[in-house]
Formats: sequence, structure tokens, C-alpha cells
Amino acid sequence: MTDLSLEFCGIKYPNPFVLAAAPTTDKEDMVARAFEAGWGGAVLKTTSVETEDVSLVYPMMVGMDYDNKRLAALENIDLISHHHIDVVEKRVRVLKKEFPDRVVAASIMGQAKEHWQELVGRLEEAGVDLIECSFSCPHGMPEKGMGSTIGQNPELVERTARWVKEAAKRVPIVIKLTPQIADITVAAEAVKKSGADGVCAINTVKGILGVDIYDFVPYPKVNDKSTIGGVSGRAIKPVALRCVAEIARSVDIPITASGGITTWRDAVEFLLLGARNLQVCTAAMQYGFDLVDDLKEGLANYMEEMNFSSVEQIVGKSLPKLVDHGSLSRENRVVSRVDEDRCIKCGRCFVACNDGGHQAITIGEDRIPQIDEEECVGCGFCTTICPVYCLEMQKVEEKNS
Amino acid sequence: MAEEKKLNKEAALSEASECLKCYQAPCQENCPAGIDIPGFINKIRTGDIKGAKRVLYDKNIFSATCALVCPVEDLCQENCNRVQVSRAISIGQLQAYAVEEGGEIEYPEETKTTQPKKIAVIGAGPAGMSGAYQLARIGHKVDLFEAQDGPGGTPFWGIPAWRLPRETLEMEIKEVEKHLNNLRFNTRVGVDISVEDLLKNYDAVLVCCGLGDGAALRIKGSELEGAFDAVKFLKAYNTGDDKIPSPEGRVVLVIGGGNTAIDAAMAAKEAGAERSIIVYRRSWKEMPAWKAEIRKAIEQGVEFLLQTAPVEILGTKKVEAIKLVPTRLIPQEEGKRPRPVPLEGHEFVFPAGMIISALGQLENPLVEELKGQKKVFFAGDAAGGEATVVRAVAEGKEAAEKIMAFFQSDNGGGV
Repeated sequence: MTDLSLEFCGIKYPNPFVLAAAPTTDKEDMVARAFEAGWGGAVLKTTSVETEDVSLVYPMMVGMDYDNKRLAALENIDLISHHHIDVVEKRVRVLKKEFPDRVVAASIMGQAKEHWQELVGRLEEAGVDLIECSFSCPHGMPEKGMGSTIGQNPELVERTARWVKEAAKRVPIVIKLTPQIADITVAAEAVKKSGADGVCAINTVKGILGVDIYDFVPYPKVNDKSTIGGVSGRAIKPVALRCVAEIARSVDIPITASGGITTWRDAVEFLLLGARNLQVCTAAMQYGFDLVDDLKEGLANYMEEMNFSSVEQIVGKSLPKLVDHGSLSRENRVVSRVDEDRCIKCGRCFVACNDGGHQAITIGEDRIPQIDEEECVGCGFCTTICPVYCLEMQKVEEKNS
Repeated sequence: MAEEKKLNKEAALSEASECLKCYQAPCQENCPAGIDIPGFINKIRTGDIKGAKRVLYDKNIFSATCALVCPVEDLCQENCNRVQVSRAISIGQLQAYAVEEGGEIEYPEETKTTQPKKIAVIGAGPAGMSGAYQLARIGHKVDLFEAQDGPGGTPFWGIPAWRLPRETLEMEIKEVEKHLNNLRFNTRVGVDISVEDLLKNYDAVLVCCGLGDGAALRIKGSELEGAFDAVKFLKAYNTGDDKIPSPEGRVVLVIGGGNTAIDAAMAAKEAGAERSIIVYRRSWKEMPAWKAEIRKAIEQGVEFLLQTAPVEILGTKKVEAIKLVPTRLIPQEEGKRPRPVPLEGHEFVFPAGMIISALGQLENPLVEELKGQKKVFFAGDAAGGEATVVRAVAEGKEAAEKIMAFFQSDNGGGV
């Protein structure tokens, strides 16, 4: 089998696939099963000191459907683990003993300096491989001055990260960032300045998944009220990819990516844009721990197909291809062209171009779309709706006019 | 009975989500009633079932009936573009879901005419009902004459209740009845009321009397007891009439390859026939019955004797057997069905207790009588249309539109 190992913050992961701090990692036996399934590492669900009261509400999760498909996005109003540091310490010991080759990370959240530092000290003592600090949970915790309250303020990021880093004698410190900030690179830069070792991008995107239109209560409904939550899953992948890329191209710091990774293709995309470690939560919750088998095999097959001999070679490979809008070629002239053999004559492209584009497509007697290359500006929208992918943007010679 | 599985909410959403919502969709173009099929399916996809039902009833006031009896595989579903991706959308099942779950239908209010006319409609089948509805709802005075003792026409006597529950049909008929000036049953035009009176008393006459008697099986022995015409047999079976002896325990042979033959064969099997066998002189390929009907018949245990023609019914007083002959198919010029030629000398005798001939129906004599008359219009089987409820509904509507145009034209130029 292809070697999928990859180093992150000085730690060697047997493969880059890691369970993110979430319900999937809140029980010892769950993490054990995940490791048996092949996950390279796990970040245990965020813990805190005993004085921290974790008062959960139910239900805490709700999904967004797309037509007949479930879970285009997931919203949660879960909080940190109700298991405090003393429980998590024990878990680290058991898991490290049973799975010495896997990376056991812990996630922590605190308020006061001494809380953060106590958590670091105890976890290091227990044998944890890496510590992730949540500066990013967008719901519940910010009301107490925790979570994304820190992540949204670069000064607090730097100060808090420094406290944590100071306390760490052995293990690398990773700061999990929130996308709820005007420029995530500023937060990443603050982490870098603090001396911490890496960043995790991103935590959930603050959102409201929907509203029950019959009783007017937004989702998720806790009795007759709701609150703003954190959105995860496929729908936030574009946001996460953007954040990872932005950090990767402007801050020299290792990135563990999180946000909508569902398939090996997603995984490759995150690697290409500069992530060197991949965290999965929603997809693992939806499909189960076996998902890692598809991720690993898909990645290995991709590497073989593309002649990559290590995952390292993929990391950041797309970054040079991401430039400012102003630097994009103005000479690039493309038009939509149809593969008539594959066209099923549904006419969707006609409607799309007519109502959403430039009226460049007509439907003939035979129902095959005819593209007027003079009228087609090359926007590409038609290619996004064709159910059989038979439209393609192709380069043309400079328009003479 | 092999019945189509009903869709539940989730299955309907799933099916509706697969619809490509084609532009100028072939399904809609293949629907005689011109239902906006992508439109109603899209409303199911968004969870607006009431809206979906409204779209259906906009074009077809017999949407519930058609959901059960439409030959969708030969109509809307036949050219579904989705086939090229996976399979055709189950349009019929989605229609059934929408009519069932869409709640009460609010039929659109129409602007009333300022010049109400008197119109006679002959026949209370789908064509007559549809035409009468279109005319009556805008304020014309419509009198409907029906020879039978109740409404419904061919779907009522021709389609068994297990396929088309009577309540479904009656529910849709009731909506039409509300708008009528008068509805007279047991009234045969030409017998109980004269053609002359109709023409004298009404501003227009819409003839939707359907077809006449079944075509006779012109072979020796067809007068024997136990030999019937399929139309009579189905009427008796579907209306619970006991004039025809039961097929129970008998070997029943049905001569013909159309939908009526299939219906009769299934009805015979359902009524307890020991064997129910369709005898058709050509092959599967040429059989005019709808694909889904043939499949249902096979699932139900109906047997088929193909490329076989009847020669003579045998028996002293009652049907005891039938002499049959295999046929050879002689290819014809393009577009024509091959001609079956009996293989002489290969005749064989098949024991049978009942012979049902389903060789098509003759024209209703009323049609000949009224043809060419000014202010007389035709729709449905009487106009020589295809034998589908949906086609009849569409034709009734078209005829109503012609009648309205006729009223508006100064010269009143007839059909």
C-alpha cells in the first residue's frame, strides 16, 4: 500500500486523516474503533477544567437537505465535552498505550491563564501527542468570553496562544481558528507570533440552518426557542478551502484543515491548497468510521495516477495557481461547446443561458443546443447545470471585432 | 393483483428530485392533455403538493382517474430524457401521489359568458364530461344525455374496479355535475329523444357517445352458448350484471391483441377462470395493447397463444372447444404491420369453455346520423380518437373550444 504518512508540527501521522474534536471522539471506545478502522489520529473532544460547567441543550443538531439528499450541511449547538480534564487524561493514557502509532491529540478551551496552563500540563503528563486550542467555537462559549471571542481578536489570540505555548514543555500547540473574522490571516499571523506551532482552519461557520415555517421557531428547536449555531459539512467546504489557502500563502505555519472534508477528492484539494493534516467530523458522523478506508484508498489511487510518491509532494501544489483577480489573464477567450453525442436533449442549458446568462444558446428541431459563439461570453454557467456534463468551456481565437 | 406501489412522501420527493425539468419537455408533449409535467413534479420536489395537484387539474379534470389508468409507458414516460441517465421518471406514480396528497382542489373560477347558450352533450364519459365542464363553467346551459343508468362511460364499464376504484371516478364526475343544467340517464338519443328535437332545441350538440357494439367474430360456431363479445363481457363483469355466465372454472380464450382483449382476459382470470388465454394472430411486437397492460396480464397469470388465428368454435349447444391455426407473418412495406397467413393443414383443436372476441368496436350508429350537421361536434371515441381517458378529456376540451369559437363566429360555420 502507498505510504500515506505525513508529518505535521513535527509529529508523524501514519496517514493525514484525523477525527476532529467532536462527538465522534468523546468516548474512549469510539476512538479505539476509529483507530481500528484506520484513522491516523484523533483530536479528543474539547475539554476544560472541572470548574467549567458544561450545560448542554437538546436537540443540539439539525441538518440541511438538498432535494432528496440529506445533510448538505449540519448545524450544531453542542458545547465542549461534559467530560472534564480528569476523564480525558485517563483516555489519553489508555489510547496511547493501545495505539502507540496513532496520534492522540486533545482539544482544550479555557478562560483564565491558569486554566489553559493547567490543562496543558496535565495532558502532557498523560502522554498526549499534540494539543489543539479552540479559539473558535461560535456558539454558547463566546457568551462566556471563550471560543470565537478569542479567535476574533488577534491580540487575544496571540496572548492566549502564548500562555499555552509557554506551558507546553514537549508537545506542539495548534490553535483552531474561526472563519468569523474579516481576515483569517491576521489571526494566523498572531498564532505565529505567539510561538505556537500550527493552526487548524476552520471551526464551524456561524449560522442558522432554517426556520420551522409553521411554528416560526428557527432550527434546532429547543422547546420553542433556538439559538445561532455552528454550521459544518459539505456546504462550508468552499469557505474552509479559502481560509486554508489564504493562510498557506501568507503565513509560514503548518495547517491542519477542517471544514466539509467528505471524500478523498476533498482531501486532495485541501492538501493542494496547503493543508498538511486533514480533520473530518460531519462526514464521519454521517457515514461512520469506515469512511477512512475510502479516503485512504482514494488518496493512494490518486497518488499513483498522478505519480506522487509522498503526500508531502501534494501539499501546497495549487498555491502558485491562486492569484489576485487583477493578475488573471484578460486574454483568455472561452466559449461553451457541447458534446452532441453525450447530450440528452433536456434543454436545461438553454434555460440557464436564457434566464441566467447571455442568450447564446438556442434549441433546434433536434433539441440539441446550438451555441452562438459570438453571443457566448464564456461565463461557464451552463456547464454547472448540465446533468450529463456534456458542456465544456473551450478556448477560442481572439474575437475579431 | 399486481399493483403499482404507492409512493410515500419520501419516495415522492426522491423521485421528483430526479426529474431534469426539461425545457419543452417530451413528457408534456406526449401527454394528450398537455399537462405541465415538469411543473407539477417540481412542485412535489419543493413540497407544495397542493400546487402540484392544481397544475394537474388545470389541464385534466380527470387527473385522479388518469393517474390510475393512463398508459404512461406509452405516453408521457416513453420519451423521458432521464432514460439516458438511468430510467424514466415514474410520472404516473407522482401524479397519483399529488392527487392523493394534494388536498381539496380549488377549481379555477372562470369569467362567465355574457351570452349563455344551450348545449346538448351526448354521453357522460370522459370526453362528454370534459366538454360539458368547459362549457358549463363559463355559464352555458349544458344538458347531458347518457344512455346508461349512470355516468362514467367506458372507464366505468370497461375498467375493473380493482384498477380504477369507483369512488375516484365518481369524485371527479361530481365536480362536473355541479356545473350542469341537467343530467339525464337512461336517455338514448334517437330512441328516448329524437335527433330532430336536439337540433331544434340546442344551439350546439357535442357528440361523445363512444363506440358501438363489438365487432363480430365471423367464424362458424360464434352463436354457441359461451361465446361473447368482450364489450358485453366486460360490461357484465364490471357492473355486476349476471346476464353472462361466470368464467369460473372454465378455460377462457380471448381472441384479439388490443387493450380490450387484455382487460377481458384479466377480468376472466380474476373471476376465477381455470385458464385465461389470449389468442393473437401476430407476435408480441405487433400487439397493440399497452406494454404495462401486457405485463400486468402476464403477472396475473394470463397466457398467450401468439401467431394463432381462430378457425371455428366447436360444440353442440355450448362452446366445447375451438379450432385454431398457426400463422406465418409476411412482412409488408415499411410502416405496415406484417400480414398473418394461416398455415393450412396445421389446424388444431383446443378445448375451451368460453370464447371472448375482442376484435375492436364498431362505430356508434349515432355518429353516422349526426355527421356533417351544422352545430354538431364530436369528441372521444365517437370522433375516432385513441381509446385513452386522457385523450378523451383533451378532445372534450378541444371540442368545447371549437363550440365557443363557433358561437363567436358570425357565419357559425360548423365543424
